[in-house]
Amino acid sequence: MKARTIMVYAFMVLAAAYLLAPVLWMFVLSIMTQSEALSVPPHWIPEAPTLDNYMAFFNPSASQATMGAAAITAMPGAMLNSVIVGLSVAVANVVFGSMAAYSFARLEFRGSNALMFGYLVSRMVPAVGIMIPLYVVMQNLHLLNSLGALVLVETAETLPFSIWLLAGYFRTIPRDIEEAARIDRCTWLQAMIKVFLPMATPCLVATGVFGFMSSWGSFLYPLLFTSGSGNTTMPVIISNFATDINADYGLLATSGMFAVLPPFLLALWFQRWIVSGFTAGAVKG
Amino acid sequence: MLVLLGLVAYPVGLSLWISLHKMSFRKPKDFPFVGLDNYTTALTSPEFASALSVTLKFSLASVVLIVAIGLALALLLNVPVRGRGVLRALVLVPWAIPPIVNATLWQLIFDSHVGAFNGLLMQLGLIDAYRSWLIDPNMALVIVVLAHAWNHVPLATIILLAALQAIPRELYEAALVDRTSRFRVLREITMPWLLRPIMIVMILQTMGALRAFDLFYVLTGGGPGTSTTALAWLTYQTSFVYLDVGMGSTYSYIIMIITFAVALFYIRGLYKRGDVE
Amino acid sequence: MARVQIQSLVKRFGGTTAVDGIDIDIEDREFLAIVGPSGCGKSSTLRMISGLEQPTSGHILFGDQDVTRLSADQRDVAMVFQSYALYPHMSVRRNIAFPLENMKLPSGEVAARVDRAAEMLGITALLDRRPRELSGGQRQRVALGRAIVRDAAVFLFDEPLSNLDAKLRVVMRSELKKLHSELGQTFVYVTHDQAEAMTMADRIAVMANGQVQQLGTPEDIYFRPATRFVAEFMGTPSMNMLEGTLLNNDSGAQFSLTGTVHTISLGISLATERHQQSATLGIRPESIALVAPEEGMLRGRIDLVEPLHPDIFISVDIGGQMLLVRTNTSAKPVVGDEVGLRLETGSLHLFDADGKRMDTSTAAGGSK
Ligand SMILES: Nc1ncnc2c1ncn2[C@@H]1O[C@H](COP(=O)(O)OP(=O)(O)O)[C@@H](O)[C@H]1O
Ligand SMILES: [Mg+2]
Repeated sequence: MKARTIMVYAFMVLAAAYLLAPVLWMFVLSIMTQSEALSVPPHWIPEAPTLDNYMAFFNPSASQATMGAAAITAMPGAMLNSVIVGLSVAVANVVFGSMAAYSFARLEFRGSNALMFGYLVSRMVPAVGIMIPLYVVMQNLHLLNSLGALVLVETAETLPFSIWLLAGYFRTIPRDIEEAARIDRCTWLQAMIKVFLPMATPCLVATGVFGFMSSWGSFLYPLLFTSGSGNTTMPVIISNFATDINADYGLLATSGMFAVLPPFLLALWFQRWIVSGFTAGAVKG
Repeated sequence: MLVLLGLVAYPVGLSLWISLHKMSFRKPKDFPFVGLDNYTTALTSPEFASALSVTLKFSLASVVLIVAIGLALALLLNVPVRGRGVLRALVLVPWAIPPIVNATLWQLIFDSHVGAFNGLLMQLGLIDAYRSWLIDPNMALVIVVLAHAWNHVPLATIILLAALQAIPRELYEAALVDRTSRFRVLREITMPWLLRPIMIVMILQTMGALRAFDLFYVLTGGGPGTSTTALAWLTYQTSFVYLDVGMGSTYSYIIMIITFAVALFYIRGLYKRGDVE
Repeated sequence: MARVQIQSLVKRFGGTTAVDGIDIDIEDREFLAIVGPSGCGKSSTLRMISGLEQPTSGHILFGDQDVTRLSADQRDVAMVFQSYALYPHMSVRRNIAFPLENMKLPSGEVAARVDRAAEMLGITALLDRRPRELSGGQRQRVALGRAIVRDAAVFLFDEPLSNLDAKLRVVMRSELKKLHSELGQTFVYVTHDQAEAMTMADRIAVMANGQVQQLGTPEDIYFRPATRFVAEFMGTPSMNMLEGTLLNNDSGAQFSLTGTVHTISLGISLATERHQQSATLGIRPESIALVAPEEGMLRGRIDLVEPLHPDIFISVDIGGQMLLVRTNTSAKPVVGDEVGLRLETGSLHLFDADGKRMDTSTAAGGSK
């Protein structure tokens, strides 16, 4: 019994290392000076940790780094754009997702399976598959280079999953409770706002987080639909940075840290809800 | 719902339409109908054959790896010991990392001059000089698979762990009463129970693998040579680098068809088992 | 002002007819129970009274006002659900206050009313808990509380006790009855448990297949069931039903039991022209006495003895038909014994082939 416990812990340490080491390395690089980042063999623990790389992003002009300067200046704006798109997509997912999910869950539509199937089908169409026609459409609508286009496309891509997630959760909320609210002199809208939505909060939050994260990480659409530095999003800037042969590794790692931070905090903050949200759908199917 | 459908259906149709034409962003006015020519070109071209094989290798390896690691982690996290809550939180770490950052991350690690991987192997005495891993045609695809798997293991773990926790306790207790060995419990009770969630993980991951793009863009750019030119990358390159949209649409249509076929295959598998009502 | 009139009410769900044209006139301050087997349309009826469901056709009047087209929040009804339907995200206090808040009552009045209701139900100590921290019985009281804080015109209950254990159910029955007299409001109470209906209601509507079989006082229902269905449904153990032929001649009506030579003289003349028709004779187990074989109106063999002290239930086989007898005799009946049965002639119920009651109010019997 004892030996087994030790073995389990050994495996757990191993697993933790597997999950964490890559990010930790990025973090370590981000607090190194440029010369230390280039040392061979690598310093696993920085000898002179510094926040210079982080400061560089807040104060680009004062930065000594010449390499990757374009990325540094573009990063704050791109982060802001990403946040705007992310939040809009999150809100759109919660609002439209819950309206659609409510009708699916309550109108006793034939077949939650059909919904699941629809979701799968729409996921089956890979972004690369529809990017060309979407590009043409956006071009014709003169929506290229606008954040609105990104919000629209990302919402369309994430909404099926959100609906599926929400409908599954809504079904677990007994109809009786809404009806009790009607009996207790609520109009339908009041019943929704005062009783139904508060009960669905965990899933609404999970949906919002999901929408935010998906669009936060989305790369191909902004790559195609936006150009120039002013109106693109974080992943595009990072990819430019990362494919730049002269990139400063410390700064590159730092931009990665910036990009990881928001989804990371969200995941940590809403850990329970995310897990239970996915669980409801995947296990019961 | 209709809007949604429109946003998916319209591009799909338009894509088909374009794929039957010769069209280029260079000469947008010139739009001759060529029927299935693009398809015959695609199916007979060596680029396509190579890309298809890269895609299949990549998808297969990724899915196997993700299911294997995801399952191992889920089983590990299901062992009731102190501190597993921490590890459960840590599982979410790779999941929260955007694909593009994931790509950057692994690029830093496998860098040929200063990368951590080189440093580690060197310090362990396994290599005597730094190598350019991503320039090695055999290694490049392996690295892309590893990076992709790392990013996607968490979702598999979450789903499988949830399924594990839903196993009725009585099943185990019955086994305990029967003095079944640990291994047999795993084989006879746990695995059959997990079959359906594993299927779902495989569906999700196959689709994820077929649409993977970011990693290729940052890590390898399809190279060296065409050793990591997957279909998704080929489509992007054809349409937006060579600007041959007709051909690009054809490729993208082929991806869709493959994805569809794979999905149907899995779904049939699910139905056959009678687990889906 | 809370007389409730239900007029030719029909409710269809797709192909199934849940409620098939019912008329009930519920008086102000009456306690009406609607009872029937599961699926007979009780809940649908109640939900149409509440406004949660719209009738396919027919009308519902509260007092003089036609409320048929009003939604639930526009009618003045309180309702207690089988599942209690408490709001999980609110404290008990807020659950009870919720309807009053929606009615925009001043907060002082809300607090006072909540306290009064809580006191009435003995849940003052629970006011700051969440529903999930309560036992089933406590939740039940909270659900009641949420209904009685209101001065609703009509109180509706849909099987409110069916999720409680047997003991608590009996306690709550009398409490509900007490509550009714204290509030002095109209109660409509749906249940599948005939004992609940019998003990609490002023009048009972027995439903089957979406129709009202009988509407009457518990005594009416028990002693003068209008149909064979009502007779069998109300009362435990169930009324015995004997198949046979009704002979109607000058000397009065006689019932000849299928499968035996027995004929029972009913001692009445029926208003039917027919001389001979198949019919069913009903008699409750407690209206039968065991006697010596030669003294009985009927004769049979004991098939099963179930001592359920102080009573003993004895099944007697009469030419293939089973008859349950309830006695508290000290004599020990033995399976296989030949016995005679004496039927209380005032307690015979005669039903025609369609299950309709044939009047036997003046029935007086005699041996063959
Ligand atoms: N929302 C509904 N949709 C379809 N059929 C329903 C619905 N509600 C009730 N029914 C059907 O109507 C009949 C009566 O139901 P109900 O009024 O709930 O019966 P009870 O409460 O007496 O058990 C049943 O056959 C039931 O299946
Ligand atoms: Mg009911």
